[in-house]
Amino acid sequence: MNVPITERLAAGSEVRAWEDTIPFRYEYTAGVAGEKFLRGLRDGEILAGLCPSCGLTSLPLRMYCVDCYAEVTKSVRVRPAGVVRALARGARTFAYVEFDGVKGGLVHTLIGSARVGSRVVVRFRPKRQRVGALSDVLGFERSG
Amino acid sequence: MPERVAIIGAGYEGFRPLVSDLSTRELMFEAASRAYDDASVDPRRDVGSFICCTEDLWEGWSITDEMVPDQIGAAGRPLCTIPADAITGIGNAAMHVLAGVADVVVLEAHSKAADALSKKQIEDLGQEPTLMRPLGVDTDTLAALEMDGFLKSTGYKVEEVDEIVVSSKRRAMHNPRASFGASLSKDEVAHASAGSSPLRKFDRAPFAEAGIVLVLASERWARKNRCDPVYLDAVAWSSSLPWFDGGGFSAAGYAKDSYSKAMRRAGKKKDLRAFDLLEVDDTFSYKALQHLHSIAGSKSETRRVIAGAGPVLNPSGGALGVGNLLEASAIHRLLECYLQLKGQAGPVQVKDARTALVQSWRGIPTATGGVALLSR
Repeated sequence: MNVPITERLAAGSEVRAWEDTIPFRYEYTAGVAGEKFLRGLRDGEILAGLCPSCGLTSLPLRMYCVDCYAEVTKSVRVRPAGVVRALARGARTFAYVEFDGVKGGLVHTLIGSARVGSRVVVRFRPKRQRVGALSDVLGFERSG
Repeated sequence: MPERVAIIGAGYEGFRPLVSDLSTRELMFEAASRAYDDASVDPRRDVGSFICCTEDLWEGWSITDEMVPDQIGAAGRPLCTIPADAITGIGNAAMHVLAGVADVVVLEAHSKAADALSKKQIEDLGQEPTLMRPLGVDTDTLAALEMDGFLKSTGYKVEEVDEIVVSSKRRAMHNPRASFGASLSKDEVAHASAGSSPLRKFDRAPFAEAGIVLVLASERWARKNRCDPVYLDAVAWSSSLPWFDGGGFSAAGYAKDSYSKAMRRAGKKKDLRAFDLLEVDDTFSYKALQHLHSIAGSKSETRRVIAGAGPVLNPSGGALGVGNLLEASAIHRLLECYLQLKGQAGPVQVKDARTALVQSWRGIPTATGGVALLSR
């Protein structure tokens, strides 16, 4: 069986293309656990899930345990202080921070300077400005 | 596996940053025609099942599977599309063969990356919408975070990442399918511009276009029809927790898990010395090191392979040299290994290659990938 396209385009002027756009809009449902987490941010709290079966405390807050798959209905308040595990420096610096005793963590903006291994705290917006979204957190800043 | 699955033919077209003269369908048609010629099969008569790995957002076309059948000879025949990489695809093809669904199965994947004018926006849509997207963190930033976390948690040096880039670009100079070969010094790699440090310009594979088709058959069918195949000894794929969900930086769980399962299925002990060559995902340079470290199991073994004292690592030049082929990335690695084991890899041929390992990754922000073991 031979290659069947024997008439190939040989000049740039023969090449045609057209442009189109795809106008998508979505409204993502936060869900039971997601809403609880976002309401926590509004209250100035980081909430993690606590598995009733294996005892794992994890972020982000989910309705199920990532390890044993048990239903997670209980959340616990995490002390909003953690350790920087990774940094990406560009126009803004982003940090991935893990919290004591919690599996998983959060990515957010780094305020000021820090290094991997630095202890940081979560800095929230003033209470009146919080809306129950990730933007309620301004970022992480070095503690002490 | 009770019976092996044979790869009896391969075909491809493109392997350029921009294939301007062919539409997506024509690209697939060309690749398929060559594969059918290589395998000496008639798709309208011999093939019992067709599988295409494709992702709607990269196609710019909703329900893409509706546009797949005709150009690969599958009109009116059993066909399914899978939004996954070709390791998952070849796993599904193997299941079709071993379950007796079909004696001959076709696996197709392609990249028409240049058609997507909003690549960054498509990549950004891969991120979780509540906790990640609102931050404005793009793919390069997530890669930079992972690269930083990987290097800091394992103790590998960025110079070892540079070595992978230099080596891949140099190998790609000799691969006719590679668009991004270059003779770079470590210094040039180290001092290339950084949009989001520590990630630099050469740490990320540029996009490329290609259409690739593999034809698979049962071992019995291949023997009966006097094929000269490459065998799929085992395949496995896995999803682990991404690093930002607590999966950790030091090892890619999906790679480790897939490797263990594939080796167990093939009846082999975990030892990379069992292979003549490895085609490991290097969509980002540090991922090649992370993936190799995850399957090698130790830094010393990883460094031994990089130093050239083990199986040849990414003789094709990898994605860093050939290009990021999107959903065709894993099938490209399978193709390179098929050509190597057939002795048809041309200037990048590994001498006396008999066994190969392919490792794949679905890309940021996933922790999904697989491993396939091939031999001849």
